[in-house]
Amino acid sequence: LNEIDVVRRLQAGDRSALSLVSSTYAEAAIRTAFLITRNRAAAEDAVQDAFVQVIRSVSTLRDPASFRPWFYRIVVNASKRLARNSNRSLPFDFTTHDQIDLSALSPDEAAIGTEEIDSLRLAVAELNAAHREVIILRYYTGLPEEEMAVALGVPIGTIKSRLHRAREALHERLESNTKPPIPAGDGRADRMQEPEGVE
Amino acid sequence: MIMTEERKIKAALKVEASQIRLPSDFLERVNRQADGVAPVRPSLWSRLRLGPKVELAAACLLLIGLVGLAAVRNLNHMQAPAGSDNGSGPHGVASKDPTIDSQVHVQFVKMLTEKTGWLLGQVAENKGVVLNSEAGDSQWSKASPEQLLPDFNADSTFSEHFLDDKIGWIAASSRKQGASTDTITIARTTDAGRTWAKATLSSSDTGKLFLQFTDPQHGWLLIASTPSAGLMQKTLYVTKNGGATWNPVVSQDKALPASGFVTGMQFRDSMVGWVSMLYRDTADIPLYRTQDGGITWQLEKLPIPPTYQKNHYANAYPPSFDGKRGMFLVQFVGADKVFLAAYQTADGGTSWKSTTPIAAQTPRSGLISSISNALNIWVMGENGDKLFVSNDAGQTWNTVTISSPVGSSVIELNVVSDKVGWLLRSSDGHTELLRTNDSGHSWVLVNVAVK
Repeated sequence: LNEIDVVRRLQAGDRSALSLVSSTYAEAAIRTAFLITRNRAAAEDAVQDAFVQVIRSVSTLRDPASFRPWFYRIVVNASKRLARNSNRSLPFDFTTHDQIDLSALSPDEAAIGTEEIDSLRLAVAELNAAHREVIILRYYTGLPEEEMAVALGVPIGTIKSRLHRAREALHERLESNTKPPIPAGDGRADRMQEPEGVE
Repeated sequence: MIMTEERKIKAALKVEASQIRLPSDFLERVNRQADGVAPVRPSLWSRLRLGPKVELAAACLLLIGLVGLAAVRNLNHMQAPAGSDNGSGPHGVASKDPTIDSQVHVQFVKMLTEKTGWLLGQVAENKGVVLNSEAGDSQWSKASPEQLLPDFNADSTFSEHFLDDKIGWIAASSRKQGASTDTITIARTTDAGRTWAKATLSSSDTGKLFLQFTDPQHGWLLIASTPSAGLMQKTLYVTKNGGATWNPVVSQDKALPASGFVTGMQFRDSMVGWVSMLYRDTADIPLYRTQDGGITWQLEKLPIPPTYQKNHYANAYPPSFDGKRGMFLVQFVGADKVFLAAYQTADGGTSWKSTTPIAAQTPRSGLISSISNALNIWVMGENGDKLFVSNDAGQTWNTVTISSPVGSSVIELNVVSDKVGWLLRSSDGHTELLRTNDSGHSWVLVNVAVK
């Protein structure tokens, strides 16, 4: 069965087709959601919500061939909603430098090295939400720009410019993170610019 | 960007994403939720969704509401009388006029009693609004000037502390487009929101804020950075003049450790305080105490029941005090189960003893709980279908089954008595405030609007 047939079965109410969709998309979706929310529980909730939304709304999808960007739009929206929650109530999940596991990488990728991978993780994490989203969808999820436009609900021109600015911001982060810290007593003064509140 | 750099970014994202796996029962969960079998975010509330225009605009504006009486009623919009207070302080703005008649999207609720409390919310206008109100069942009024917190939006990090119905502070972080640092605005009122004054700080990285005052003069602001590479920098500021000026607390050594995700901060007086954390890479309970106003910190030496000393890690949450009596919550997280325990003190936190942990499936990455005094504790279950309630500081617990589950997206729980409480949850891109009058068995939507 190709994807269009699977989507048509779903649209016809065939719930068994969901397992086929899940086998193609669920793992990538939960990881995309995790990259956006940076919280495991929120990512699980987001993807679960997204699949329920698929069941309930797939009949409204006019073109079954456009399922992938439509699906990722649901995932991204659910993730952003739950990320807002995370901001208030849930912590970000993170691994420490010495916990980085390169086993997910090909030998070529692993050759990049733990240190550089860690710098990149840090730089991506420091991007603002809009920039992080386009970086994630482009470089992790692998959506082409046209599908990113659908997934994020913005014109393709916006995607292009946002990607451009996100790459620039990433470069800036990488450069600033590799600069040595400003020496300061206990290492705090480099974070805070104004020592005293101003009326 | 050259291709090799793209490959490196892809590799870094792949490593980051490999931390999570699809739950083995994922499809089963989806099907149960779709069929309405599992506890889910109830579709009842989705009928109340605003139009997309309103939702979009709602993401932009801040409003603070002093609530006369919690308004819980029906699903119709409630209208409050126009703001009636005038007044000005250093940054005070008269809060008359408003022509705004808006649905309020609550970001924070702090009820002080069953009838009075504070709300922080957004309304469907892209400008700041302040509301104030006399007590009243459905009366919510402006209690802050327009643009109180610059550039506040749905993603802003903020923290708040209200001592009573007159005195309160709100700290919020914002970053202007292209700026390299965050501006943290700390606004304060001593007259129930008639007038506000502000102080500002600058921070290069603001992940979370924790604000607390022990009296009208003494307060602390803890800035925790966005966690990266396992570290979360913590910077503490102190004020001794009610928030007019803030100074960094400089520690030569024994500062708060960079490791650990802060869950809360609680000072008992101007010298003694605690910071609680989540930190899974330690065998200890991550609760730190200061006895010198925050200059030095020591890890509390807390007894861990033998069963939980291995194969579990502990999440600590901030203490609550009523005189010298106090308690705080700890989650012992195992591979499959989460256990909840209260630690009690009768000597102001000098010594603590553990109650017997109970199995309580709660979110392992952050407890949603409320302690109305040092005795009455409510903890929300993982799926929003249960509450774990104790009326004796965690000595014994009751499990309350919620008749219509409130879902797993609860942001905040606020309990004022053994019967009455509020919760705030996220639903389809906006927030909803719900109230219970029957000890958490049932919850009713509080429709918050302001005119």
